[in-house]
Amino acid sequence: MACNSSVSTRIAWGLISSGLLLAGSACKPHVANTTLDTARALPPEGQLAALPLGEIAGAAKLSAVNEVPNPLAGNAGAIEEGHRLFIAMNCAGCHGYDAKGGMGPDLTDAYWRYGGMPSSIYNSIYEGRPQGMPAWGRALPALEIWKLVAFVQSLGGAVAWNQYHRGLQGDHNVTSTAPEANSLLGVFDNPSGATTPTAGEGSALSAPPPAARTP
Amino acid sequence: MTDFHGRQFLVVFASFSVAACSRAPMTFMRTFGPAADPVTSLGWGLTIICCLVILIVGGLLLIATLRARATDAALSSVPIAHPGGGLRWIIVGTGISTVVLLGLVVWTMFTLAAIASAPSAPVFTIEIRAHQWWWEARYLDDTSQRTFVTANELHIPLGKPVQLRLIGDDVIHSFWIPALAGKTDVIPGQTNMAWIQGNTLGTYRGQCTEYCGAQHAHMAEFVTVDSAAAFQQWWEHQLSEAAAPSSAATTRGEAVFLARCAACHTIRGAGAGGILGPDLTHIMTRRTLGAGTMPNDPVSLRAWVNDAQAVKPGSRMPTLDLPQQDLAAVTAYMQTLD
Amino acid sequence: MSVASRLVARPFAPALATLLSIIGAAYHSDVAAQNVSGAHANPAPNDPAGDWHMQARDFANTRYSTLDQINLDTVKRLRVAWTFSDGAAYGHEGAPLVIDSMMYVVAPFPDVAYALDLSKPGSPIKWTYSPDPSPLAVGKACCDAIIRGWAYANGKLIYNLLDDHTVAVDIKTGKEVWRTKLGNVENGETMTMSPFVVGNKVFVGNSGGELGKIGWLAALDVDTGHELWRAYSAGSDQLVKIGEDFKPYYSWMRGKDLGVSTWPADMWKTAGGAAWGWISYDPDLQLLYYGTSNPSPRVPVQRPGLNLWTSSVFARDPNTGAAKWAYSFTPHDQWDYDGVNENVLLDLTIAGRPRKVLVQFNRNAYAYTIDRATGEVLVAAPFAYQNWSSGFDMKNGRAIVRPDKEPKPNVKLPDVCPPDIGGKDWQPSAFSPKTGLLYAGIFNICMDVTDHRQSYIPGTPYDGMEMTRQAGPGNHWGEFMAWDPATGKKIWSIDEKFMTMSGALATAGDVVFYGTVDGWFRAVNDRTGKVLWSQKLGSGITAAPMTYLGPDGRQYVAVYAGVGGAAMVAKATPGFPPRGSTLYVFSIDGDSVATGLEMPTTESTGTLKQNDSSQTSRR
Repeated sequence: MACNSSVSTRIAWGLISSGLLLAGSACKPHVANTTLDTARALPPEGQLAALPLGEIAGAAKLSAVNEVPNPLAGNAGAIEEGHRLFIAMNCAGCHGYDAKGGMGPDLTDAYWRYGGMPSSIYNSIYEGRPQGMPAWGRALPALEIWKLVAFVQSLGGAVAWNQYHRGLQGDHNVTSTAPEANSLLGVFDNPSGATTPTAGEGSALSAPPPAARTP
Repeated sequence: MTDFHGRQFLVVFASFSVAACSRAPMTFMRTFGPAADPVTSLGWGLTIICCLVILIVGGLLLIATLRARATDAALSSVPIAHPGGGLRWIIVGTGISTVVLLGLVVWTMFTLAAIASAPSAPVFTIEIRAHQWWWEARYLDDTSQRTFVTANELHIPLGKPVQLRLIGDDVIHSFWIPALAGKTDVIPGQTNMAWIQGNTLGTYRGQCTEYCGAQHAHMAEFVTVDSAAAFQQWWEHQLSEAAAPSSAATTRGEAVFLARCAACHTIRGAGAGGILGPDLTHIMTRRTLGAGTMPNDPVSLRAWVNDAQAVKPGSRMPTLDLPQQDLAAVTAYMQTLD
Repeated sequence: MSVASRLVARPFAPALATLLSIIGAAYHSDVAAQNVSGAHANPAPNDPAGDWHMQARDFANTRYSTLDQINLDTVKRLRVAWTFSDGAAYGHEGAPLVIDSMMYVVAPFPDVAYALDLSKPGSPIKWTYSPDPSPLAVGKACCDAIIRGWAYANGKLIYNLLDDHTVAVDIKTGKEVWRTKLGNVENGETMTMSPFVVGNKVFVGNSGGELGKIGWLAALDVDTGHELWRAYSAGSDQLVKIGEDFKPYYSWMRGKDLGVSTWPADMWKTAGGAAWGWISYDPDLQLLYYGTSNPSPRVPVQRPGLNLWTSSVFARDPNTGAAKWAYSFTPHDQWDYDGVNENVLLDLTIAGRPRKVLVQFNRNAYAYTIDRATGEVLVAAPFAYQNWSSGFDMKNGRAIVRPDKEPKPNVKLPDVCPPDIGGKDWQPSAFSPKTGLLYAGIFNICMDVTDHRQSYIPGTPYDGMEMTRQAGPGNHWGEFMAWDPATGKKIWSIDEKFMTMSGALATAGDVVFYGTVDGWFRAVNDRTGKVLWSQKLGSGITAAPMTYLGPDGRQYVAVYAGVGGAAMVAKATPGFPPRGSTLYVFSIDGDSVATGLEMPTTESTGTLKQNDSSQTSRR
């Protein structure tokens, strides 16, 4: 009758709404993709270990072997975890909670004694440096170090990953470049004009450099 | 009819209680300490009264519907009439309900008063700091030298109230040992106080009970109620430093630990002082790893140490991928940390 | 003499005597009134007045010179006589030593020592000694790669290298005599303090309270460098050298193994309490006085308990190191209030009783006058603005902590005064026996602090204090003041926009000297506080000035200008100077050994005629 049908309608609505509630509560939370996915994309340790600290001797036309990107660069979750590690591993104690330096150098400015590209920062953290920077490579797995590098990159002073020569040459905020300044061989050894190095010409450490252009 | 139902209920409840002890460690239907006992009694009382109410009201409803159905055909030929006398039912029903509800309110107030604070002064305080996804516990004593830190598994003395100071570190968690005490939230920026007491020896499991992230489900805690002597012994043992390694394997294991693990974990006596992860000075006195994720046995320990992300994905412990020899050495060393 | 004359003379004698005594009393009271506090100091070891054999001038740490050629009348004629730059960029904090017409200075890292011959014009370098310390130490020094002083004993210049070695150098030849290794720099331990010599022993202490290093003071043999004893600042009574003779004045410092029981399990091993400051010595009581640094970590919730024996002053027997008494200025310190500042030893009268005291301007902004025989606090009065305590409980010898100024982890606590570097840091005060006053550069700074619980990772900071600092009430960062240690009152003060982090120098010429972090070196009337002379130097001044008599009989005042150390906390202030490394030496009219000497002669080929107008027109 009328009462019974309304009761059954009410029961039906109850079932539908509880079903919706259950469905809603089964939504999975968003997990930052810093752990599983990117772990497969980390640069191999051997490649990083082979990167030279100084500039490659005879810099003529040699490729930028240090051009290794940080797979976590710009990843908000990684930057936040990197910040957490920056405090937890006592980095803030030497470099300051604002990373502007103290016992250790300023990490927000554009001066990098040991290189400011992500691969250089990674190596500085991994290997340590002579004036008191400890070597973290054994205490921190690679992923954690890349998180720290992502945090340092987020501070604004780091060199872009594909700007090896610019980083070496201290080229930040350059507003104009003299034409003679682009040559790596030296202006008078390269009569065909300025040479701008490109990335990915192959590893210069294992193979001899490509033959220079003959005058 | 009511008696038959009552007996049925009693049987159901009895079997439920038995099941609660053996196969349902998180049951709150049976408790073992004065921080929870009054609530359990109130809970049972409410349940029984509610069941009785359901029976009575259901019974009356049944009578009403059956009676109405019986006279349906007779009424269809006469104009609508109000059989009188219904108001008396309402007055009696409301009166009984009011008295019962008032009684329950009074009982609830007494229960709240009983669990609000410990019956006597707490014998000591445990400062519990909730992290994602494990519990840090610092046992405080008047002599600071007797203060130490442990994780996930607490011991308390039999029959004595213990104060809990709950401090949040990252997100809101909630501390809950169903058999011993009710839920108290652990909120960053606010210190909540609770207390706990165990009146029966045994180990009781608890669980974080406020959703706190990916591994909320694997954030258990265990409270063991010890006799006075056993508890004192446990405290003294926890104060002691970790045993120095004696074999070649464990010496190497300690070295691996110091190089790979000490930045996050503390082992007192070994020179490891990290506080990002749990204190491992006496890890072997704990029955589980990863706050209840796995039992604490050698196979699980290896799995955890080498790739915690496979076991508890999203947890703060990174995947280490140790070389086999180092893994064997460090787990051998950790197994000496009773 | 006739009876009559004797009768006449008799009443005159007592009258004359009374008159004379009145005049005498007036004269003495006139002199006594000049000494405001009535305090005096023992000038032992009575070094020659024109020399400067130890950083603090004497065992009592008065930093007072009896020279008076530079005085109220002549000080305005001070000019630079000569300068010397050692080229090391880190902060310069020590004062030169002058012994027998030779000056000895040690530059900050890499700790190169120079001997300058004051008898020759321009004070040329006679020898250089380069010890080659480890560069690792640069990254382990909490507060710049500095050196706070050096010492002289038995023909040797003795000083600490940043990397935990103490060296002794023959002052005649500059050759190393001995080098003792005292610690391990990889673990975060460094040495920055000035060694202190008494007899045949030199006392040295460590730095590292910010890196979890347990503090210690050691005695080395002056001639061989062998360690004779070492007393720690935490641990068992045996490690702290507390024995039967130990009698602290207050009951809360009595008990067995307090250096262990006032810490959570095992945390005494990373206690801090480094002995990186100044040492003084009483040759009559035969007691050595020095302070210990803050407890470690700098996050108090990680270490409940009184945390003894950090932020304390110790009185020890110099022969054995046995502690006679100790007093903790800030038990369970929560703000990095070290206890290492200089303890000036004075004799004065308090409440009608003559007392042998020590006076310390503590980091916690209280100036303490403590009986140095017993450890009883006689006066405790704030000398700088502070809000961490609501008062001082004289009965128990403890400041009363304000609960709302206790930092909690991850919660920003604004406006805590003084900040971690205190109402006054290590920059030493000076005492003038003529005025009876102490002179000190102090701070007027507050901080916002957020604590972060920290792990102990050896070789890295065990710290946890995130801070921003700003000027306190009145908006000036520094202040130079005169203080009465008997009453605990400030007599006069000079506000300075920048921090006053130099030491003070008091002289018999009634002039005291100090410098500011923006490079002003000033001379002040020690009685009125009027600034009589100022000179801007090349960098900020964080070193102590000193004065000596040159071989030419002239008085010189010397001070290093090279900003660094804890002064760098203000480096974002507009006008903050860059680094420097120059020693400035001043004299009246700038005269020195070089004055009046012939300059080098010029050889001419004769092609230029005298008064050549064509030359002048071309110009």
